[in-house]
Amino acid sequence: MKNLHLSIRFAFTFAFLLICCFTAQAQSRVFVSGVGSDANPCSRTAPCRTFQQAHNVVSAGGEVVVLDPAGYGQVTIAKSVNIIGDGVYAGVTVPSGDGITINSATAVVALRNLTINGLGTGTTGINVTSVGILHVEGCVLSGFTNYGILVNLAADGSHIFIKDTITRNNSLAGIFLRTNPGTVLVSIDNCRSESNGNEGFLAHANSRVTINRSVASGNSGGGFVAFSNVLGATSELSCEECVSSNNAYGFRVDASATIRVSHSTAANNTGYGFVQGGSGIFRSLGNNLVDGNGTPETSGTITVITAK
Amino acid sequence: MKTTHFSIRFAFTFAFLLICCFTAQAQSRVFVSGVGSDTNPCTRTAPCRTFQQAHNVVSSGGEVVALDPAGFGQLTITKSISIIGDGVYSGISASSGNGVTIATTSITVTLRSLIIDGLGSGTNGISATDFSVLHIENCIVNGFTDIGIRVDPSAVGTRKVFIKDSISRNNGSRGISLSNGSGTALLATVEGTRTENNVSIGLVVNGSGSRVTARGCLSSGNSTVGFMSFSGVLNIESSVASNNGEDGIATFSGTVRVSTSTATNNTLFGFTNSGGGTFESRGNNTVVGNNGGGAQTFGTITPIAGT
Repeated sequence: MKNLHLSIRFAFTFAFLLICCFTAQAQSRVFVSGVGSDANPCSRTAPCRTFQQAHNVVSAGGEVVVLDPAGYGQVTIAKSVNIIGDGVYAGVTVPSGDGITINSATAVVALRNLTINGLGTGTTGINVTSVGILHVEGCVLSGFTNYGILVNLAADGSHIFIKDTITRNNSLAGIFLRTNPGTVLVSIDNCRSESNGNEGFLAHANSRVTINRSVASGNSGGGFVAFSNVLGATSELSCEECVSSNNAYGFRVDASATIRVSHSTAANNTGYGFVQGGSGIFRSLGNNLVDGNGTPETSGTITVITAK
Repeated sequence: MKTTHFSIRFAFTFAFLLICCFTAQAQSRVFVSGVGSDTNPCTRTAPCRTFQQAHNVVSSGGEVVALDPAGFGQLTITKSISIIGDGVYSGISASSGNGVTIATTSITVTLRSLIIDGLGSGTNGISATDFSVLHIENCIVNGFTDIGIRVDPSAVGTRKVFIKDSISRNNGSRGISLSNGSGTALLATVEGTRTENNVSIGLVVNGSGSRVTARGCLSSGNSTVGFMSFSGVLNIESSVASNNGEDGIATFSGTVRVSTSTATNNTLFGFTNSGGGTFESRGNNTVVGNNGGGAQTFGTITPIAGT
């Protein structure tokens, strides 16, 4: 009788573990908390502690959701996933290396409302070496020795969407975009690059970038810059309703690149407001405000194109 | 004695049920929580677990409020209501069917701050086939096999739609589709909203009675057209269409009016009028870098002066 009782208990326990573990593997939504533990199954009531563990547990294409304000650690993303920090402080502190590394050619990734801090020693906030589709939304990248966001791919066909995001106080460019070979398509909307050690936004080799309603201010290099020094590669950068102020230059194009600027402002940059150099092509819609920069306000050939 | 005891218990139970149900019926604000239960009355201190139960309990015109971060389940709305996820992660996962279904005449619905995910297998994120007024604010609709936000009332009558600060991305068909099968008025405003990487058109208007204005919107990386009117009217102000697989902004047999906007790096034309529709341009738009540097527009583009 006692044995039977034990057997039943064991069977129940085993069944529970089975359900528990199978559930954990199949979960399309998992949770992290500042008081969670990575020994937990990352469920709503037993959350994990780190993004990395939650990423590892969640099913491909699923959601990692932050429950409460905390730092959740550096993470390497190797599959489709959404990391969602809405409504709370969701931090990634990066004393060394990169904050978020994305390395999966087919992954569809969304990063929402994360505060990623390099503490002046971390390398890059978001380092993308391979991705299918990437959405960065509402994030802050600050204090890195290299880039806030570095997209440096080696394949064709990736789409990058960056919205409502701030890069600031990084030692190189705020956002750097490049692929070789192939082409990377990029849309940037309502972003700010502030007080970075080089360019605010840099469209480098084989990038096709549209930047809308964004601000580059106080950067040591150009605010919005397109150039490519990769043999045979070009880059294109379109800026609409953007403001570039208090940088070394406002809008700048150089070798093998095209920049197009409309409904935008360059003011109080220490160098030129608009600058065309090398084989770069600078096309202005003729409706921009370029004033209060260095003397003269523009340099090189600025081609005015007709609005439609 | 035993019988009396039972009677008292019964009376208490009955009284409790009575209070519970009357309270539930009268509530104009109810709550959901990730640690709630649908056997609760959906109060602040005893929240429900799902949007559906909260919807069923709240009075018409009332509010369903998310207390803490969780998924709250798919939802069919049959009364006037506001679903409010402000300040927390408020998720709806839909591995099959629609995330939110709205198909009741004469109701006013607000959806705020929801993250609705189809996980690559759900059908539509928000499907609204009947209502009176619909507000979609600060919502994300992602990963459905069909349309992200589908507005398609088929019955005759005026309907108003307001979509603000929302994102429709990675869906298998159109990002946002605003249609009116009956041909009567569908009056819509879309502001601060992005459609990205959808496998069709970013934002499309259909139906002769549709009157849609998009301001401060972005359609990027969709596989066909960024903004399009098949029929009906689509006004586009301060918006951007870029990196789409076909045209930036297009009309077929409808009317499109565009001002202070940009179409760039689209694979085909920046502006297209392909089916004998009307394409009016304010003359202050940036249409460049499309079609591999070839012709930037197709069909008749009519310049209109400012006033």
